[in-house]
Amino acid sequence: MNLLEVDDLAVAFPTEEGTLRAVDGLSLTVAPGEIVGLVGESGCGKSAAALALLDLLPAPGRRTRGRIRLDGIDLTAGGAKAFAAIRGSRVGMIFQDPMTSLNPYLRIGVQLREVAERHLRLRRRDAELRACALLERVGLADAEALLRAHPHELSGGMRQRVMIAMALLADPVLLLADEPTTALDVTIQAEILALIRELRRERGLGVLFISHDLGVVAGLCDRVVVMYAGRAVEVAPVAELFARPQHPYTEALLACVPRLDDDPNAPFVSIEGMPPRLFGAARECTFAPRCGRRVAACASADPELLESGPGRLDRCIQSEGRPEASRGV
Amino acid sequence: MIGALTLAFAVALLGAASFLRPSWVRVVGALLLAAPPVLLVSERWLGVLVGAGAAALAFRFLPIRVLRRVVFLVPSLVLLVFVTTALMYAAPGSPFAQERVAAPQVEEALRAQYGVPRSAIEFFGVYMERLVVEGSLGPSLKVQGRSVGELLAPALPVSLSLGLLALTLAVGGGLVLGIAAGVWPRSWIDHTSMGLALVGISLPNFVIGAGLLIVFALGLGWLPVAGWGTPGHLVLPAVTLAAPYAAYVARLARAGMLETMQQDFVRTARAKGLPERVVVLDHALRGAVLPVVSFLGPAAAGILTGSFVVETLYGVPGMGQWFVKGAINRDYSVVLGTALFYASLVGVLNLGVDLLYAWIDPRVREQL
Amino acid sequence: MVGEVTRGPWSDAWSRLRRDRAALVGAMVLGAVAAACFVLPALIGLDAVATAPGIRHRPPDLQHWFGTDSLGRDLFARVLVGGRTSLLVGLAATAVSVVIGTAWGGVAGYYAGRVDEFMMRIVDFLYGVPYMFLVILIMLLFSDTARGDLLPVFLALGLVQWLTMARIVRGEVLALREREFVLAARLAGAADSRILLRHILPNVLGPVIVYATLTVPSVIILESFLSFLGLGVALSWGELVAEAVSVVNPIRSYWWLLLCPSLFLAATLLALNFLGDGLRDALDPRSQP
Repeated sequence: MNLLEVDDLAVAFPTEEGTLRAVDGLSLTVAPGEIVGLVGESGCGKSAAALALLDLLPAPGRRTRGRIRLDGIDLTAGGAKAFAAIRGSRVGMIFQDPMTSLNPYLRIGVQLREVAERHLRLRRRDAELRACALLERVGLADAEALLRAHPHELSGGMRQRVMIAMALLADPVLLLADEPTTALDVTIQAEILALIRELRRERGLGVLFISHDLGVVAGLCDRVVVMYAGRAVEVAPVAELFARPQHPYTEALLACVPRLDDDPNAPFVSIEGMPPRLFGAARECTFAPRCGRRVAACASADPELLESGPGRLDRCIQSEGRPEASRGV
Repeated sequence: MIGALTLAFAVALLGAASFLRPSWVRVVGALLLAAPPVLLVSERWLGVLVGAGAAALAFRFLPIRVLRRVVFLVPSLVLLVFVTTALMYAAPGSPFAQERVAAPQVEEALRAQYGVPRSAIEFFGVYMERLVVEGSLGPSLKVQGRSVGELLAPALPVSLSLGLLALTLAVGGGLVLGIAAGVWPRSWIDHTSMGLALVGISLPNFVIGAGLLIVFALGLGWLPVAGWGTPGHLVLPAVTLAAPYAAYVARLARAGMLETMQQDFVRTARAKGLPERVVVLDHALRGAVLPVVSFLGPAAAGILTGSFVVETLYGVPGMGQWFVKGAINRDYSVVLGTALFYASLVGVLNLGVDLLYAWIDPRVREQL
Repeated sequence: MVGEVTRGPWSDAWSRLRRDRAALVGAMVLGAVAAACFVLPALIGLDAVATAPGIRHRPPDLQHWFGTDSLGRDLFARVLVGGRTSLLVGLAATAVSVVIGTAWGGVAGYYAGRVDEFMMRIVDFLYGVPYMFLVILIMLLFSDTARGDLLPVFLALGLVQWLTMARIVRGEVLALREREFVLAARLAGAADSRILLRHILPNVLGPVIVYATLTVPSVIILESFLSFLGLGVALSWGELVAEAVSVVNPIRSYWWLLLCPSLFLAATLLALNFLGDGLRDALDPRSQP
């Protein structure tokens, strides 16, 4: 059974110009112990999707449809109470900017132990011991002293480790990571990624790793979901995705990454245009206006996400091996 | 002579507070803190002992920011005395030439007797010397045979209790209203709180006071109309004094709360699975309260201002009445005595606010 | 985002302001009150000073819309004429504080360093002075001058309010001088005064306007304090309220004496506060809830 199943998730934000569909039918799964990458440009809706998974969307945004199942339990049917029951205890989340994501007024120790006190019903001293152990596990020395420190006394990398410790304190089965390394410099980035890999191995942790950085995703994830305009456009195991991308958007993304063996005088490749902001149902393939392989048929219908190989899904009408099979999820 | 010297000294101290290196500030501040015990305690040797002890403790333990404020406060008070004296001397009339035209010799005699020279700076010198050497505020120039200390002493607790109660009401009431409005924006709680707040800042306090008087004292008879003595006498004046500041605090708290609730770390707290009550009280509250703490200094000063009017309205025998009487009667010593009281109070309160702010926001502590 | 026409920050702010109903209502009320106070009395021929002992303490009726006071004077006329003083004092004193405060804060913020340190220490010092003291003393100083001379009131109240304005302007200028466009102007060889006037000042205008709009109510209230303490120099709303309060007694209630000027006072101050809030939200969208 899958750890996390997201089925046709949609998130909308009412704005002055109409209702903006930030997420428009996203489906994905995470198996126990699997690291799934969710990749896309800024504005494709990945962060909104992540927040929706924990029912943390800032008002006035809301989930308009979709089913979210954690370990078989239907959270969407259970409502706010179901989400509240799993937040922090069965699902941990870490965010992009550890400086602003930690409470500047409270000591680290307080912020850590309240998780253990609340979810594991530990007493203060036991909670602190557990927090110390976890801080050491995530690679921070002198844990006892750290408990008494405030966030602004720590470096960026240390703060992110603290956030990871905080998210894992109650022993969750799933970790949601929303661009955790984007705000860190490259060497620290590598350490954090290695840490996540180890933790997955030790605890059988499932991870949904959100990023816009293909390089990071390539190094860490088992499977990748490529997201565009609020939906998945391609899903594949990581090696397959990078070796044989099927959707034009994936191809274009990969082409954008400069390589050491590129001609130094060649101009940088980029994708023309900007991602669309959806206010109504899409009537054509949402990527068509920017697609290099566009044909006439692309403007007439919105393609569905279909199986296009073993363990692969994609949303382009031109991809090979596109059987008229049932919808892949 | 003494006057000019004292003035120069005060200006020098003021400059020192800005430009001296921190270690020097510590020394000077500690020394200044030694001064009050030395001045006020009647037994000279005991005063010196206590003063030395206080200075040592201050030098060792007090944060530099506190000591800098002390260094700043002393010349401020001295300059205040000088400016006030200068203004009073510039105003028409004098303490001894009010109702009837006094013969010049009589006036000279009176001036000599009370120690009121013809020039501002000389009076300033006399006043400061008397203050520092004898620890006395001088004799009242209008009330025969009474010293300023005697006159103001009974008024001190009155003004203090009224002011502190008003401050507490303003901050407490304002915080409750403002935070509630911030936690439930656009609800009836929000609209009611902000409606009340608008009324509070749109009317002078004596208008609110008159309204309250009419309803609660004259109309319902629950509270006394004027005067002083029972706890009941405290209620209306304190509420009247507090009202506009409660309104300001409520608005500040609401804005602070709204902004804090949008911060990333509040989202993290929710993601950790903490119940909303804990998120608001343990995590968001501090950020909301900070702007209110910053406002406390000006609020205290404003309450002092408003107290003149409120004491007049309700006939409360506080310092404000003495100031107004003194100003009208040209009783220089009384005016200076009340000025010193108010200025010291504001100075000490600002100090407390600094410390409070640092306690709440640990990021500020290093600068201390 | 894609496809949005960029407008200048001023027109952006203007359109935001236009959508703020409370601010619009405030502006209209303000206009109405100002028009009434300055134009109406002459238009209808109202007399604010004529005493008529025979009709003292009359409640509102058709002849005297707001009733009469202790000397039989028409309260409606007095409220309107008094409004002139209150509004004038509010505007003039605020103008004084804006000029002094902006100049002081601008210089301090622009030159920074020692100059800033010194100038702001003076501000800190003055901040700690119980200014009402000095205002009252100043008023007493001039209490022998002709009644109706508003200049000392403008000056005294303006001198009280410039401090906060100076702090705000200094803060803004300090931030602005680090911005690239100032650096560019300097590199192009512009003189300090030119930079200050043409580059920095327009950007400071926003907060200055907001704070000025919110200062006017404070000043009007301070003036009413002075009137209440018997130090007022001209007929104003504050003085009318003070008169009303002085005749409060348990036997006869002259409610109209208190209510009518208070209503005008409250309406004007509320309008100013709404307008100020609206301006602040329009000019700094981040401050929205």
